Amino acid sequence: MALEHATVQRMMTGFRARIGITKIPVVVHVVFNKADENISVSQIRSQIAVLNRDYRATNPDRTKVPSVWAGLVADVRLQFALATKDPKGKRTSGITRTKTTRTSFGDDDAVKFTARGGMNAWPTKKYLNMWVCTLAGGLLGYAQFPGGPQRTDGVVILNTAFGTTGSVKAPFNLGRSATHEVGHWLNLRHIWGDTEDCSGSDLVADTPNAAGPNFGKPKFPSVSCGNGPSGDMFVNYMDYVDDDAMMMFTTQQAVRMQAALDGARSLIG
Amino acid sequence: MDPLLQHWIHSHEEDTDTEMVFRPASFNFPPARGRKGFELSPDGALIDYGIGPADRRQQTSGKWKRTGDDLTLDAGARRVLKIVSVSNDRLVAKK
Repeated sequence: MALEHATVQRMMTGFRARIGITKIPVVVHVVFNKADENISVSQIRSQIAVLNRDYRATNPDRTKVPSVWAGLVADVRLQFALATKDPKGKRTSGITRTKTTRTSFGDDDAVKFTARGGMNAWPTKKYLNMWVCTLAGGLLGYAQFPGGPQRTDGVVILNTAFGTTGSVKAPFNLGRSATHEVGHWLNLRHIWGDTEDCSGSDLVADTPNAAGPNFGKPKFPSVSCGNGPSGDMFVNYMDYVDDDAMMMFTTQQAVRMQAALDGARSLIG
Repeated sequence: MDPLLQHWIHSHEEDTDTEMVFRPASFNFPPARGRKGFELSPDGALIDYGIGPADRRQQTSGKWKRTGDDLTLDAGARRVLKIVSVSNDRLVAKK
């Protein structure tokens, strides 16, 4: 709750503590059963490149944002890089590879524990942990908000939705699943506010109130909750559309993420 | 057995402008950021599967009932689905 209080204060006052670019060291834990799940270094690097474009608003597809929201496209000022030092200070590629007997994982955090067929987290106050594995039921990924248990902190992404090359499959082949999950890791909510109706809020003022997730490749406008004429901001990374249909964070979402970095995640970067 | 008594999951890729399509949990769904669903038991018990705020599946218990074409799902927030058709492998409801 302290983080929510601090976030609201910032939104009201325009306060901006962190200046410049925050560098986030990333460890990617590849957990695989079959050889083709053991994704390549180039696939992993392609994902890091996507994060660096999306969190600096240098993604070329930002020009597709409907003009009514173009002024809200935000540079979150984050730079991601595979870790170069492991928790013991030794040189590392920032990638761990674990062969597992499990053919898939659920959303129960098992992939985050060596004893459950996955791989233990690196210290989550210092690294963004990204687990890449096969998820059951077609789930693309899940995340943990700031302030949760340390040992499970990080994001989990389906291997065929990680990066832009190698084993990725359309329509989730542009690395936006990780962009979305890292948004949660930095305290962002879904733009529809996680309720079945119009009562929920994403705690961000510059995203229109929306009833529920949008899927696929919506046509502008997608109106709900009396938010016409422009409708739901389905081009936002925190909606549920295809990778090539999402392309922006807003100014207030960036404020929220920066507040998380100055609060619960202040030891990173 | 009543084909309605199953674990249904929203197959949003098959939706039209006016209708929602649900498939049994055993259906080979393509990847998605999240899917809603519900499981109907003969005794009126309902398990509602929602999308959690950080994309995990969120499970809530409740009750269901059918009156004509109206399927009422009550797991905290009450909602009514108007059934268009139901078979063993496909449930269609009005949006």
